[in-house]
Amino acid sequence: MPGDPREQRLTFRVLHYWRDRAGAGAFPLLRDIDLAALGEDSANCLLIKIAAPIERSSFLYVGRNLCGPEETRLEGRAVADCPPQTLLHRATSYLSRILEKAVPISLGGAITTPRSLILYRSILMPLTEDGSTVTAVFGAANSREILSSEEELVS
Amino acid sequence: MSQRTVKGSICFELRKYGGGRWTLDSVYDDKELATTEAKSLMERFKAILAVRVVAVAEENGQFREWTVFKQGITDDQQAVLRTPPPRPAPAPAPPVAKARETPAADRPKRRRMSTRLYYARLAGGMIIVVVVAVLGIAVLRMVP
Repeated sequence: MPGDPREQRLTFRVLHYWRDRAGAGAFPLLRDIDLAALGEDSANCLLIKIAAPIERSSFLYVGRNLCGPEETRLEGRAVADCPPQTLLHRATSYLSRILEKAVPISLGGAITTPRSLILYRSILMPLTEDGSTVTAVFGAANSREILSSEEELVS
Repeated sequence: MSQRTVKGSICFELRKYGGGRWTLDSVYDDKELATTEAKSLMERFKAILAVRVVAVAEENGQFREWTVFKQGITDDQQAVLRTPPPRPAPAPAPPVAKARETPAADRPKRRRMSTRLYYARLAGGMIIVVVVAVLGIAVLRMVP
């Protein structure tokens, strides 16, 4: 496992891997991201190829834990085609901010369903192919479902 | 399925200082995460001299920011630390010292006695004592 194996948070493990890949540069090259090296974490990762307009940006890779219950193959499809109200949708909803800031951004939140509350945390990190322009994005997200009974306890 | 916003329009920017300038490192919606990563950056990268977590809030279209965490010191702060502190102004000298510093011309002149005069006076005094003693003995002998 790259990065600090003691780190319990997925977003930090992936962020530290991204930092290791970046080295002295502002951000890593797309080809430097080795999903196999991420082990089990790769199931919660995604890769996006940036296009203009940004809605036409497409998925290069979507981990199986982000595909949703239908397990639809999303590689090659536009980000705008991402099923709404899903973890993947929420995790990619701030893609434009990554291009604007050109730094990693981590956001979390909650999705309420009729039977549960889903707490999630996501992170998006810029990648480049030419060494200077953000042309791709690396990301990860995971979630925890809290059933209604637990939610009452939490609230 | 509905969504709800957990956080308001506040975010936490992690800024790092290295190579003589501050740069934005990453952005979070959670203060604890930003602070944890700030500490991690300081531990992992020696080139990063200081980190700062700045809360940025948008209120009525205006941005307001304030620092919620900082660690390390910048080059400017290091330069200040390396500069020796200014020497304190000398305290006013006590009256005795002042008297010592009084110019010689203003000092009261001591009466200095010459060595010759000193010995002459000493000899004179001894002669007087001897004469008085001799006279005294003579007087005592004449008394019946």
